Amino acid sequence: MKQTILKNTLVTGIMATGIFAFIASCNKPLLAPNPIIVPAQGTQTALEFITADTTYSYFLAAVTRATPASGTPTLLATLGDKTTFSTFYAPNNAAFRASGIPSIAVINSAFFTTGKLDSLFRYHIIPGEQWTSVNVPTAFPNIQLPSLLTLGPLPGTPLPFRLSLYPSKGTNGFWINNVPITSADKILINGVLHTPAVLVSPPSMLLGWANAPGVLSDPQYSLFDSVIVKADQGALPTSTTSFTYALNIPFANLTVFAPTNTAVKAYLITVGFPPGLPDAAYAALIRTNLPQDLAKGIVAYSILPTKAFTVNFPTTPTVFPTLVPTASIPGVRVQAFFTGPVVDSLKVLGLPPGNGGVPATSKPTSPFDKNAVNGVVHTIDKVLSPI
Amino acid sequence: MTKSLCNLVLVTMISILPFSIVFAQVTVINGNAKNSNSGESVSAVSVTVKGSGSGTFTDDKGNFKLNTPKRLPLTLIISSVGYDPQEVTVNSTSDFVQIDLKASNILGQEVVIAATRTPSRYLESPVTIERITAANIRNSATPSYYDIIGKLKGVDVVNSSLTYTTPSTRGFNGSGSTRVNQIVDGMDNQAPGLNFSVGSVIGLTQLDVESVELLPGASSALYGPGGMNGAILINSKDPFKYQGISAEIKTGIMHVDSRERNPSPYYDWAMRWAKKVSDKFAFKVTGELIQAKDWLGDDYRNYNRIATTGVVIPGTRDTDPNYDGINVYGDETSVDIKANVLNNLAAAAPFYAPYINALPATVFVSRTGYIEKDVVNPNTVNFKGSGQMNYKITDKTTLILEGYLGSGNTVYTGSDRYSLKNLKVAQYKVELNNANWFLRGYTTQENAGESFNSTVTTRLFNEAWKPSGGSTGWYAQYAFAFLQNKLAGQADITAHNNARALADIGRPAAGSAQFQQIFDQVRKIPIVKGGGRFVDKTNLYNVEGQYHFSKIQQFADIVIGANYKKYLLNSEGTLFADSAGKIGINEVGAYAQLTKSFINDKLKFILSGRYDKNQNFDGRFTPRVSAVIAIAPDNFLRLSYQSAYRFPSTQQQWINLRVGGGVRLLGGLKTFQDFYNFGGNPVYDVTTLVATGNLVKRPFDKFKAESVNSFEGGYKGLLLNKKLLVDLYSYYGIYQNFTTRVVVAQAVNGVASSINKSTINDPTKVNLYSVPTNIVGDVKTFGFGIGLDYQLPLNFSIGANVTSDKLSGVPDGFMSGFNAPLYRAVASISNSGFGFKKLIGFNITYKWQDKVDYQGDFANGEVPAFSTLDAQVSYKVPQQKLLLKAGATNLLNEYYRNGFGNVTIGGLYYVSIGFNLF
Repeated sequence: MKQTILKNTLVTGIMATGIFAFIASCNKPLLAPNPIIVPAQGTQTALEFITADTTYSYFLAAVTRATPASGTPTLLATLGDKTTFSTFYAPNNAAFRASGIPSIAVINSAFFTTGKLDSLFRYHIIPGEQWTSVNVPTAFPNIQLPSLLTLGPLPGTPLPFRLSLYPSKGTNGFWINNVPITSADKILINGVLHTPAVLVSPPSMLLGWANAPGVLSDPQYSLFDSVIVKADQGALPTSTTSFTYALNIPFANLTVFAPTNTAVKAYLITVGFPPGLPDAAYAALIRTNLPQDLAKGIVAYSILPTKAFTVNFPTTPTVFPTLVPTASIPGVRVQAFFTGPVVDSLKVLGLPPGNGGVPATSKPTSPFDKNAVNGVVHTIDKVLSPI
Repeated sequence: MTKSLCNLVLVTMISILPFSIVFAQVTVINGNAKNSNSGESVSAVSVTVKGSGSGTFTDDKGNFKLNTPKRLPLTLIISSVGYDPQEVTVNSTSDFVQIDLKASNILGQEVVIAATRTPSRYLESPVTIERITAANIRNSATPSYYDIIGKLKGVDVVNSSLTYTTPSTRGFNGSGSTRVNQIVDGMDNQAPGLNFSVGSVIGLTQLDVESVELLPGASSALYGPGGMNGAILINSKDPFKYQGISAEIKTGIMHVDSRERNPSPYYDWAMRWAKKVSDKFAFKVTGELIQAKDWLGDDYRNYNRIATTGVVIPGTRDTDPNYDGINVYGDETSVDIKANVLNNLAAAAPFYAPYINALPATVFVSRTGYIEKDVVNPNTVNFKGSGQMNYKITDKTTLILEGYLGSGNTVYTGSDRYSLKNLKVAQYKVELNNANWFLRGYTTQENAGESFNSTVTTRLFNEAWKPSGGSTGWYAQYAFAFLQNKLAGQADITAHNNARALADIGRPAAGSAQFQQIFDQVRKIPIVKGGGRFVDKTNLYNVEGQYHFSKIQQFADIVIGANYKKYLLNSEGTLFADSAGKIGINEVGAYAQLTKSFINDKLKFILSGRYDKNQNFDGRFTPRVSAVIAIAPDNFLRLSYQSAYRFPSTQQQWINLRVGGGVRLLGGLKTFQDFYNFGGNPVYDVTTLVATGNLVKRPFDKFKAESVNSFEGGYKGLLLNKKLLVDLYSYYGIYQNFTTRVVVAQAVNGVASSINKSTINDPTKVNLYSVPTNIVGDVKTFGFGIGLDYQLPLNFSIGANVTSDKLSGVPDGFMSGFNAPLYRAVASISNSGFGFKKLIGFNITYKWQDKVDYQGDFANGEVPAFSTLDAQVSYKVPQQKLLLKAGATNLLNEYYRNGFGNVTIGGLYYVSIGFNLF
């Protein structure tokens, strides 16, 4: 009997030990790799936003009609893609109207081909990065960022060559190129959306000059073009030290204060050229009589080595260096006059005595902010001379 | 003929060399020993003539034939571990002496040697000691005796692979712990170049182990430098005593749930043959072959690898472009594409500069790696062979020639995961062994074979397939594709993943012919020549002797001994700074021990001391004082002060190896600091830099041997009518000049300001060195252990132990590598014979250990708490001398790791049949 009890106790003990060990032996699962999860932002895609908000109906109509080249995702797809991130500059209906497009019917008219619409609004998107107003620096002049509008491959690389957008920020506003943003920082699932006051037109030309079509080939700058020709006299157009080269490479970023023919003639008279001649005669005299060094000085002194829209200039006169590589001639003094986020006029003062202390003026009617692929032109009413 | 072949031949010759012995005979007694319960014959039973030096052992059939000059009548003393001793009177030579042995149930009576280098009863050991007997091995659930060590009280184990096991006690464990001496038949079996004990790979075969004794804690006083955290002494079976052919075939299955690999077989075939040719001469040969698909290092968590300061971080290959998986290799190559590619592009195309500048300040990207399964041979093969000849020059003096040879594939975790392929380690010994003295000479011959560094090899594999640098290199392709994807509006991680997909086009798939061809090509090239193979043919030579004055000195029991050790480092510049030739390191040491009993043996004092000198370090003296107090019969208190020290390992002295994270491991000798111009171009502490951003110069004092002083008290005793064995201990250790590694940074261009947080991983700007150094101040360890073993009726026994170890005093920024859980516990229940004729046996062992904040050269992180359940059931077939067994380790197949970055271990299920196991 005692033996039986002992055995039973033993068997029970063994079983209890086994059960305890069985239960206790359950190890916690080993830790697995822990993925990095980027927290979701926003609740809508850009497409969902402009669809839900009827004040963007023009834009929705435009991007719906826009058709890209074969193989390229449509703008609608891009706006609705939850896997990509972009900075969208989406004009609302008011912006369309301010740009002279009063209705969707106009958007659907023959003037706006599907390709043109596609190009236009690809220039309203900065892909791959989210630039909220906070992130845009205030440093002069702006930040250059590639838009979704591709011109072609970038030579020597597998990268595309994209037309750039220039977001900027200052005390008077927040802009894309020279266009004020009326509503900023709508956070979306696939990026951030800003609403510009008008459509942002992509540049269609280089700065160019008279013999190379571009913004500067406008006849009102023909005498300034002659000065450029005189400055480059003897140099091959392909020479990287020539102005011709600088004004015609697509990768440059320049600001050109381009004097009108009237301004150039007035200047020439002050340096001894006869008054009252036709423009063609002055063009010929520039080629023959204007000292080349003076021509070089005038052109170099009229160009800033950066692309600055008028909105990028400060309201207090501030000196900006030009292409004149002389320490004693530090640059030109520029002052912008704003009404709200819009510039009314720009004053540019050449610092040397030769400029007589009278600033050149650039006004919208001149006009200014003529956007080029490789720069921007501000028309001025006085030649900037370094001497 | 290759050296390894020579070694093999030597072992074979030792095994078969014939001896012809002639000796006189006076009285011949024949007999047999059997288990009184099962009727099975019992081998290796000691049969000695009382009052005489004559004796013999029963053979594999239990028979003995004893020749003695003593005349009849005489008394035979019969003894065998696990049986009650008895005396038998023999009156006639015609009597056939039949001995019926009764199993002994008395706990704590085993004789141990390790604690004092002389035999003493387990209960009376002056320091904590653990013991595994051949019977324990037979009744264990673990397939390898090495794994039993891990179930002993206070023992931690790190498994780097199925066949590579490293035990340690009282902390400081790791893959290949250098703070534990492992001594097999008197030979230190640490691979002299690789710096890890090869016992689990090369040592004794399962069937040849007579006993394993473990001394936790400091043990230098008797066993020399290195025994900071214990000494494991493994003794093989004497061919005179254990005779006949033994064999065991074990077949099992692993990976049953296909978590790591498909289910695969496990084979362990072992044999041993020993023969007493005459009373003067005996020999044995042993062999064991283990073959299986190895466990896998499969921790794919992301690791921020700034060498020893690394930590686990969030991220996967799909969510972190700079992902560096712990057990993913090749992805340690990391480059900042912003600095090295994109910024150059921005300079060439300024209109992209703002866009590129708007990307994060650094964009580190790692190469795509391969998981361990792809690059490490899954077949673990381990062959062990040995041969031994014993020749009794006199009754008391035996000449022993012994050789061990081990070879195979396994994986070791050092600074990286090392695939030890065709590793060969051989040990050869010549020994004169007398009851009172021994003189021994041995050598350890190491050949790393085709072993390679998995990390380095895979990184180089990537380079061989597609170079990282250059205008068309992997990173250029990646960076351009990344930018293209960004310009297409892709989110960062999508752009990265698309870029990776493009740069990886044509990447050889793991296991493909192209992969294998390139990988084999790279791994066979020595590291110094741009490959991943490390050449290590380092050898060790040791001569030692000991004299025991017990028989001639009545005042006290005195033991003295001395040794001379010489390392010859030979890695051909792949591991050590020995490209100009072999490096020799000499060590000498001497020890003495005095044992004196007082008050009718109720109080015993043991004084030990040892002095050692290494040519690169100052000499060290390590004393030990211990006392054993008999407070009642079979109840003893023990007190001890022990000290130990460790000369830095050969690698800590002379290594010069750039490892996976880009850090160069240096030896601690000043010559390295001079060579790398630490004086002219200072180095700065990386931990401080990472934590604070500040540059703090890191000077290095003279590199010293580390030491530990340990105070221990304990109690061993039999209670409850001698059914309960209690073993308690508590210790307090103080480490001085504790050896650790610190990572320092040096500016490539010599300008300190070029070192900062963002450049710390950029090898073009910063050199990273991991330098061994000593911690200033004391590092303290303390802990305790409680062990209970209870003898139940019917031969059942239960046991349990709880142990704890804790470390304090490690300054911030130092890596201690303590690697011990705060608590661990083991519980077991077993029976070596019950049921019908006591033929059934079983064993269930449960072990739990707490989490460990693991630190190693390879990686640091938390090893979660885990538990294992091992179990076996066996059945004896006495007539055929068979033992049938079915067992499992990690029975519940609950995967666990016991070392960070090491293998994940699942269940192993096996059946075995053993013949003539004793």
